[in-house]
Amino acid sequence: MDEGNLDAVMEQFSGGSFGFSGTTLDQLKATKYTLAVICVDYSSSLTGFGGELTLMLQNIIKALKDDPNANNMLVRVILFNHDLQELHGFKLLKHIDENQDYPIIRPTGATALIDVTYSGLESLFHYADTLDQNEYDTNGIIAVVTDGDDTASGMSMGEIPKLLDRELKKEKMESINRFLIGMNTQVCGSYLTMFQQDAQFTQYIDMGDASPDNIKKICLGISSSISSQSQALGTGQASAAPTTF
Amino acid sequence: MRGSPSVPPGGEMIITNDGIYLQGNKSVIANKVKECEDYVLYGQEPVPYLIVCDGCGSSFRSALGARLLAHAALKTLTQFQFRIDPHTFANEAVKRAKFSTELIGDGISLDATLLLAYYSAHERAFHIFVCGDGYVQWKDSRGLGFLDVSYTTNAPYYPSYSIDPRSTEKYLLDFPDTESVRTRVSAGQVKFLSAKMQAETYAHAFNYYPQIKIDADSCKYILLSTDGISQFRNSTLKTHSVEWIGDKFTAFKNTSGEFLKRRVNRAKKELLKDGYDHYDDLGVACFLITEESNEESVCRE
Repeated sequence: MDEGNLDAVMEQFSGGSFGFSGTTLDQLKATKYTLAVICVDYSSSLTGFGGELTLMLQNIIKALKDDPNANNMLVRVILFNHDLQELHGFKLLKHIDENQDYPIIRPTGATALIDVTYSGLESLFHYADTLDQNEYDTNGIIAVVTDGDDTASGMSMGEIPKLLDRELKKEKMESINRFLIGMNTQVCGSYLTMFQQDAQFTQYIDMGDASPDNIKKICLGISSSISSQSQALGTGQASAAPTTF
Repeated sequence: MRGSPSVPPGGEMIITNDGIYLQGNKSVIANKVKECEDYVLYGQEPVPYLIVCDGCGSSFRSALGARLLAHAALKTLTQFQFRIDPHTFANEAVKRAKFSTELIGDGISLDATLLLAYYSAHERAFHIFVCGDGYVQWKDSRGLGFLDVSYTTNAPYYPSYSIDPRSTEKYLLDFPDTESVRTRVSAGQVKFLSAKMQAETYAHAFNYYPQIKIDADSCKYILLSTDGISQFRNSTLKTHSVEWIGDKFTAFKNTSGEFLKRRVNRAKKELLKDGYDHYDDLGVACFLITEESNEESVCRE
């Protein structure tokens, strides 16, 4: 493979409400993969924390690269405010350069929380389906880091449970863990608790303020969750290890 | 040990390989935990090779013995490539493995079948040895071919017996049928796998180890399997033919990387949905011959 041209190993997937990109199948040598989607809010309420958010993403990737199952992980990263920006699609860890791929984040705009949750889930299901058709086993994890109420989504809340209901029945993935992580939740804590239930996240974690220490904890929590999900692949179970943040 | 896919001189043929071994459900039925007695090695050095071993269930620690024999076979291939017949190869592999068991010193049995396939570049051909029972399937320009080796006694004459005259004597006392080997081979082009009538069966001496040579230029794949391939059973003990299972194991949707592991795992799931589980341990390895590839291949268990 031409390491200098990583676009050559990524493919654009359309269909559904949002497109996404993913590694081409000829690059996937193993039998099983863990698909991870990390969605990070950079709406204007996080002004002043852009550097920490970038550092968080870099540290998540660094931590995952140390994992024994690193070769079997495909990670997609989305930044969102009122718009969704795919920093990269489902990419093999070895093809992610955490020092190059993540720009300094400059928070701005409103929050399209429903849209990003839907997009993240839809991409997981769609890519897992593609891999399943080619006989790869997968499981999935999505982590949405946000500080606020949805103010800008085009989709309605009801679309998320419909998507989950429709796709989970297909059993294309062994399991899918869904984390909602709240930051700066003084104002919107109760909204996020409700959002967790309505959007059927398996866990809501209230991280309190967006201090560097808490952002570091989120980084460790996400990387350890992806790691334990990856270890569970092939057992037919969701990650057995408890998720701690 | 690592290696790149082999590109034979004078052609653009790429040989990749993969393998998998899985424990059967008989140990679950017997309510005891045991090791998988089948074992697989594959790689590209010194030449593209597949090694498949099936340890004898009733012999002491034969799961470990099968592993030792497989690794000894690889060393033997390295030493003797291109100048060896199945008996000499099996004897040398057993002798090497015996050094290990004697050093370990707790009576590990080397009673195991040994299947080998390797590529000979100067002949542009694959050689296949079946020392004991097992199954070989390949596809070339004439269609599908197979060789199914079994014993009427259901007791293979393991290579480990041949280096010990007392074992051979005991084997013949226990199993006096000296024409116990049955080879069932495809007769010409077999297009439809349900057509058992197109296979022919031959009887051979108990110590017969078949050898096949397949022209590499027209070959698409070669699959080696332990006799576990014949043990996919449903609740009424009905089984599928080995050719049918072999065909399922080689219906690759994607030939990247661990192509055989993905296919066998998926085939296993599909069979389980239909009520068929593999009763015996299963060891399978495969050469895939393509025209161009950017595959990476490594020597692995």
